[in-house]
Amino acid sequence: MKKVLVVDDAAFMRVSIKNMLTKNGFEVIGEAENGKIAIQKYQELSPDIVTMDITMPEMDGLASLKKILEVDPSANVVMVSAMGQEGMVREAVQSGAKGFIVKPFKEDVILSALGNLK
Amino acid sequence: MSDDSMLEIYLYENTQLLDEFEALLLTCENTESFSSEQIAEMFRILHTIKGSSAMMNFDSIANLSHALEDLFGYMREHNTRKNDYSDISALAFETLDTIKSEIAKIQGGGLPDADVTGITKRIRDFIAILTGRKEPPAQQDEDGPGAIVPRGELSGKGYAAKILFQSEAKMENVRAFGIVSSIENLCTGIVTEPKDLLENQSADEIVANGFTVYMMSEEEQSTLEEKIREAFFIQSFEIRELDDSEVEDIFGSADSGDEDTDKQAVSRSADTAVMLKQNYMSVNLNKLDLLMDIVGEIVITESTVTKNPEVLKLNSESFDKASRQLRKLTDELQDIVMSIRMVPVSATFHKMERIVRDISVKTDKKAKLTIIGEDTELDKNVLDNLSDPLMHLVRNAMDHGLEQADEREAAGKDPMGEIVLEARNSGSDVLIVISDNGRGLDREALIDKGIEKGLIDKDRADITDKEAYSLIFAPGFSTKEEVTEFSGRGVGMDVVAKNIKKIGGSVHVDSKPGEGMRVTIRIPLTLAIIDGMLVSVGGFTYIIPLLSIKDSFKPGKNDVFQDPTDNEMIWLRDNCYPIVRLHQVFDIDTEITDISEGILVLVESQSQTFCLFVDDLVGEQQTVVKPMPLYISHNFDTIKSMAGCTILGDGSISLILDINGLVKS
Repeated sequence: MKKVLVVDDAAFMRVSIKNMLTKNGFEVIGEAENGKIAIQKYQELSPDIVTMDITMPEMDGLASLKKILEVDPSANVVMVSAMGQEGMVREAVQSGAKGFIVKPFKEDVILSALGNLK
Repeated sequence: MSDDSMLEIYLYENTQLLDEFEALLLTCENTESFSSEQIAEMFRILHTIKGSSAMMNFDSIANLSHALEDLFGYMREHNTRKNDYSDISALAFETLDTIKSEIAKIQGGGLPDADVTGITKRIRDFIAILTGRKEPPAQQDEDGPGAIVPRGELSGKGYAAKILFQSEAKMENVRAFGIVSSIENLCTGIVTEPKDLLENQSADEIVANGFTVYMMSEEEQSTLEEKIREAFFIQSFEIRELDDSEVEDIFGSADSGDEDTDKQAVSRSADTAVMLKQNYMSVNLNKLDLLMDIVGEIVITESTVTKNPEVLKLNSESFDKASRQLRKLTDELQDIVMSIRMVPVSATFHKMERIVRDISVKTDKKAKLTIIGEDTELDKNVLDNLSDPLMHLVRNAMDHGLEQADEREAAGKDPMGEIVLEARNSGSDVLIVISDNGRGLDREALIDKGIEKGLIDKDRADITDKEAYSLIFAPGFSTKEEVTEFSGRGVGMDVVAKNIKKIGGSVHVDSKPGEGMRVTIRIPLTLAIIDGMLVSVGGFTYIIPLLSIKDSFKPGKNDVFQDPTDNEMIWLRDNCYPIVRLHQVFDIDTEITDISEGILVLVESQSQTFCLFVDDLVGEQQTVVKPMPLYISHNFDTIKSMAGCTILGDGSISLILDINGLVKS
């Protein structure tokens, strides 16, 4: 079972994503509410996949993505973005994010994205 | 997890975010400045609300927060002029209120269905005005060619790949861009169609026609294919080799001198001010109520067990020890449950800032709200019930209390009026004080009105200030003829007094003409479990709250005398106290009618100290206050002297005396 770390400052989004994933054979092994905690948790838990929100307090998803990739260049980070964040997403993809999904999304979208990862 | 609990989380989180947003907005408006940290924080909050609401399909809320997010997004990147601030906060407040009312609909079990096109259009128009007025600074022109050509010679074979994305992919141009950057290192030349992937309009083009990428590469076709297939949401994908003429057509004209145009990534490290996040979790209030009930039952059961007559006969030392330990633990349990339910008044107090702001804008009065003691804690239920009365009192102070600026100046006062909202602990009570430095209450006008409404049956001269001021809480009393938009919206101050009474509190008014008025609300800290003294009267057991008891003693025959109206009085340490015979109040037959045979309990109410005459003291006990059955509270007047009832250790029911109520009856 793929282990997922869910990063989002909104508890609602964390729960939503967690629900969608656990129902479909993923294991959510951790949650983080900002980029800083995400880095810690990544090192602690070594997840297979990270879903990363972009706009967060303390440290945003872009900075967190870059740090995680420094630690583990093969990290599977999927950005969770929203319309209007094209620039940030572009930078994320360029920095090594494996892909992105756009809020609001349905269950099959996130499953298709995560299923695409090796 | 069920949809209901998702909704619960949604509501919980978003109401909190809205409160945070409102607090920030108020600060910004008061200081007439939007700092970059504040803007970033408000932007983030709106962004979060937008995301969650869109996930829940609450379109109206998502659209509102999206529009406002764009406004704050604009402010984040551009300097706005100071004289735009009032327009910005007015728009933001209006949006905030609409979102709040939409959330209220959801809370009420409905759907957020407001038509928000008007307000979102106004926000967009406003952004357009801001944008039109100023050149966007330092934004690089994004018109670059579609070819990303690594420096050096074009070599290898030419390939063309056509990609269609799935319909739900979104941001197709960015996806195409991602594909380009993933194969960049494998290619010596790349040309894309549409050319400009940085332009968001090209997303529509990709949706319509697909995305084609032409590559020159020394890698195998399969390597390229594999790399491209890593991208998400690819619906269909075709790759073929180009013939020489095609290569010439596509790459021959490509201008190889171009630098990478995609390096315009603006780092937006949203290093907002470090928010002090405490380690909290949210708990369903119903569960806490349930917990409270169970603790109450445990307290009762504890005394049923430890005070059981059969067990007491055993006279066992080890049982006593064990029951003492049990008592200690139930005490602790109770304290903790109480403390869980305690929340600081700050959120409720800060809501009042908004009211002061709104009314001062509409009535053109200058006013500020000062908050003191916002850390003071109150039971969550009590605080929720206090919110409306407080709102009403603040409105009243703004509307009737504070004068217009010119009127204040004429009276030699600071044109800026002040309302002070204060909370503090006082013994076992919490005091909430709302005071203003306005015109104060007009004693004579109050009395005139009171007489007119038939609320006074005394001589004018006999009416104390306190009685006159208390008139404002009498049902159907209002000194203002006209009903303004904010105060007196059909709800009078009598409702305020009633609501405060409902949560066990009392309210008291004080005023000085020309200097303002002060309303003091006194609320007992804990309502559900009290320490009580059991007293017996003619075979019945009553409970007196321990906090009201000052003393108890056996009087001598000669200590008691009668005042000219035949009321019994007693001298005690240079003070004279009236005696209230409980058996007379409740009309109970008892053998003990002689003062020297019974016990006097000195009790203190808010207004008076007096002695209760009872047969005997039975003992102290923690009692769980249960409300009186409706049938009794509706049909019997003597109930005013009762605070409730409880179950004693032996299973019998006992009445708890309300000392304040006793005074009145």
